[in-house]
Amino acid sequence: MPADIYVLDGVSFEYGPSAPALREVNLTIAQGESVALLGANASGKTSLLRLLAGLASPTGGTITAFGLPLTAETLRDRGFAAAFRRRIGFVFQNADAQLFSPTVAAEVAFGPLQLGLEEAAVAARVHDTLALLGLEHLAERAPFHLSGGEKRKVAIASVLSLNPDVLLLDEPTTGLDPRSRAWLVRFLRTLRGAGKTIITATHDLDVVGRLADRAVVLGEDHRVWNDGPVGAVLGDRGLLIRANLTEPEPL
Amino acid sequence: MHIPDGYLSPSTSLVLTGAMLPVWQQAAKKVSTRFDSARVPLIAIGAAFSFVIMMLNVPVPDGTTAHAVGGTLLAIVLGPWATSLALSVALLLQALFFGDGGILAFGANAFNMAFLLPFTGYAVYRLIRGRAGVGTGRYYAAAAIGAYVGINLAGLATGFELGIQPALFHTASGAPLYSPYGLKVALAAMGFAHAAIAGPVEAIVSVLALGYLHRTQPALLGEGVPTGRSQTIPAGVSPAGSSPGAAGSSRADLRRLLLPLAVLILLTPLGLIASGTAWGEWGLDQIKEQLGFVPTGMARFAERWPSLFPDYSLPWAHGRFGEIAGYVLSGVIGLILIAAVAAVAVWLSRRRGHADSGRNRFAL
Amino acid sequence: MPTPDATASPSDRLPEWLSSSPSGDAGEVPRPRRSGRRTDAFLDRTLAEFAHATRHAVFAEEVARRDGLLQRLDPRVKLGGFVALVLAAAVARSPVTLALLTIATLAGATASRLPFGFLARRVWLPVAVFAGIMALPATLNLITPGPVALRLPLGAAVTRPGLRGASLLVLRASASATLAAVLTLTTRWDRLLAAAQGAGLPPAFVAVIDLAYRYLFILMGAALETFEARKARTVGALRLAQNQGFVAAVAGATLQKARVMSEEVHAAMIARGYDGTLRLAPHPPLGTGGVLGLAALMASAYIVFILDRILVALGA
Repeated sequence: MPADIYVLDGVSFEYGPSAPALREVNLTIAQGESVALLGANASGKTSLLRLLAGLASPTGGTITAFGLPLTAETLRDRGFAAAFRRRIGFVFQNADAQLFSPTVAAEVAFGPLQLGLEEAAVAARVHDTLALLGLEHLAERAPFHLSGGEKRKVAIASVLSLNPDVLLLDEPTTGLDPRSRAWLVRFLRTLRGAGKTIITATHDLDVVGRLADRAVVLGEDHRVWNDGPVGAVLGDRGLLIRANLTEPEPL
Repeated sequence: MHIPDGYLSPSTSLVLTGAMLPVWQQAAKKVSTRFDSARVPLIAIGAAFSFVIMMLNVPVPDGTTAHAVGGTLLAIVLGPWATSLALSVALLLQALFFGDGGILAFGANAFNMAFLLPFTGYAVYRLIRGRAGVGTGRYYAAAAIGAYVGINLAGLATGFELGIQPALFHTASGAPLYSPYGLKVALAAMGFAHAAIAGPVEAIVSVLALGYLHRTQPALLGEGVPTGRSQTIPAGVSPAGSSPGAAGSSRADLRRLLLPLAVLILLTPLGLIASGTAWGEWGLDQIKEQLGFVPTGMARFAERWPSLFPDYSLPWAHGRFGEIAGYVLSGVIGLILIAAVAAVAVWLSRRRGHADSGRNRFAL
Repeated sequence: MPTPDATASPSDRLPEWLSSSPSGDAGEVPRPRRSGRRTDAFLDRTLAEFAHATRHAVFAEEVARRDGLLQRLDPRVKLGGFVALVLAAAVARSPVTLALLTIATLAGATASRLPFGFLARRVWLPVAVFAGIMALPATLNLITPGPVALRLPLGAAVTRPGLRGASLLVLRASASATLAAVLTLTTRWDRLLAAAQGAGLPPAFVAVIDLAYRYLFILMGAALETFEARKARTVGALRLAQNQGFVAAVAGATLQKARVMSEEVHAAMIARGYDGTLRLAPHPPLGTGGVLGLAALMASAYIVFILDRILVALGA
């Protein structure tokens, strides 16, 4: 029985008294699953991802990660925080903001260096990750100058080099051309096959079917409307329309 | 270093705001671009940038954090005049929209951080950099030292402005109306804080940020030796059209800007009016009075370092006159030293600018 | 010719270290301990400052939309009145004056749907406490000599002028801060700017401040995300120098974004007819209500001034 990575119990999150982002979300995600968080803009998917990544604290309810409580307080313990962050890789929606090192190679090396790996091991990881994503020819370039798709790949690479157990991706297909999109889906499936847990927030219905086996639908009222096998969810056209994930009539 | 409202008298604020008016006016004239319409977004976004920089927490050795202002960094990239405008607007936003730093005190804060800091920092940077290319060791050393000197001067000026308050503004019974700490305490506190903490932070952030820019986007920093034409100019900003009056008018500007400084320096002797000894600066006899004895360690070391002006008095002049003269002299000498460093740096860097082509509109 | 994004075929076989899961090389997640070593403060503090600034701005916009007494006044009236009142606070010599002024300001705020307790707690208190701590050593005879109010050991003493000076500083700083907060919270920032322009601020400066405020949040958002991304990848300890390097890199990256943004904004403005002089929407004329409001505020400032003189003469 695969272990539960995340258990969310009645989780709510709001930016201020009149700005709710999530309402009473109950969710359990087990190791090895590939889950799609489906919802229109402002339904709360990004907030949910940020909560799972430990970048924000719920204003109500509790989150348990790896069997331990995930709160601002527990994350203040360096040992726990480091172990947690090592296992969770977060790929932001805005790839630009995520890249802060002067070269692509430095960006990918950042994580392994912190882990205290030896030079040779770090170099090997950097080399392997760049090769995996087809970025070797960009190793000495500044991330600032790359195209949108390349930046997205560097962002993924910078997170992969830590060998996380869980990948959280926020709208990873936005702005990608069809070939790149196909490549990304294939790649995520490969990672999934190796035992990684993939959680993707998206409103791109085209990739969801191939990418995930489970879909959690967030409505515009910031609540979970459905949580089940991706095939069933995608087949429920009424649900998709109500959740503003597809048009009511063909245009 | 932001001074809130209530710590400075309205007259001090007025004087410093008045000192800034010609600076702003001149800056508005000097920041000309190929398209006049590019000026506004350039400075506006420079201001937004400064605001963000001032929010960054930089880790320091003892585990806490400190803030940088980035005035010299900006002056190196955008030029000191554009920087003075951008920083002034950032300070205004902080005061008006976020309650950081006083509104009446805005002029004083602008004088310290949007004028003294970037201009001194830039002058020292130009002086030390000489003809070294971008990205060389000397370039970074110049930036670091410029940033350090700039922020220390700003810090000392802040200390000075705060320090003259109790002597100048108090009730009949001697209660201070605004900041209660006299010159000695204020200057010492500010001087130390900036020399030991804020200065190194400013220098480090400036150097590292320039290094990052040099690696990722060298065009932003210009190339090669600074001459009138190739001085760092952001895209969209034109190289200077040569204005024949530039050299002469910039000297006049300098005179105008130094005037407020001179006035402030002349007001130093008013510190004399504050009687009593600053806290912690007791001599052995005062310690004996208070404690009833003198700790042996203190007694042993007290005579070991004869100071130039013991008790701020002149050894050869005695009595009340000696006290006063000594006090004035030591204070004035201290300030003159600071001003001299800045003035020499400015003068020398301007001479070099002249030697190049005299057409660098970002030179002072 | 494949597009740069496509990258013909990145290896589909995962390297050995990546295909071992879960966390083959990482062991168990340790229980969080209260007494454990704390995480880097500089990341959290910067994130907290960003969050605070955003919250403040959002809150200010919301308060300015409420229907209260001060919100209904013309911003030019408020600006003029505010300047007068702050000046009155700046020249006051009696702590009593400042205390009364603060209470009156908080009362005015309450009438503008700004709860008394809220402002008192969030604005008045922190400023007062900070000033109090600053002024504490100055109450001693070592800094401010004079008649003794309270004797302390070792020959030190709290003096009466020292106490008065400290109370003046605390009350003045907090009164000014409260006045500023009430002004900025009850006035929409764009109308405040327009009022400043009406008061003589050159249009170019107004345009700059206007744009700067808008784009502040975009730049802040970008820097914020970089800090978050860094926080999400903090898996070990870096040396101080490396952490400082990170902060400087964010500064540099923000400068690059700022430069790009300035060109884009310029292009957008040109495309909409901007030629170098910003033309703002004109203000409606002041009206009787406005004039009366201004007169009332000016009169209040004058009353504060006179009251102060009387109180000082009475020895308060």
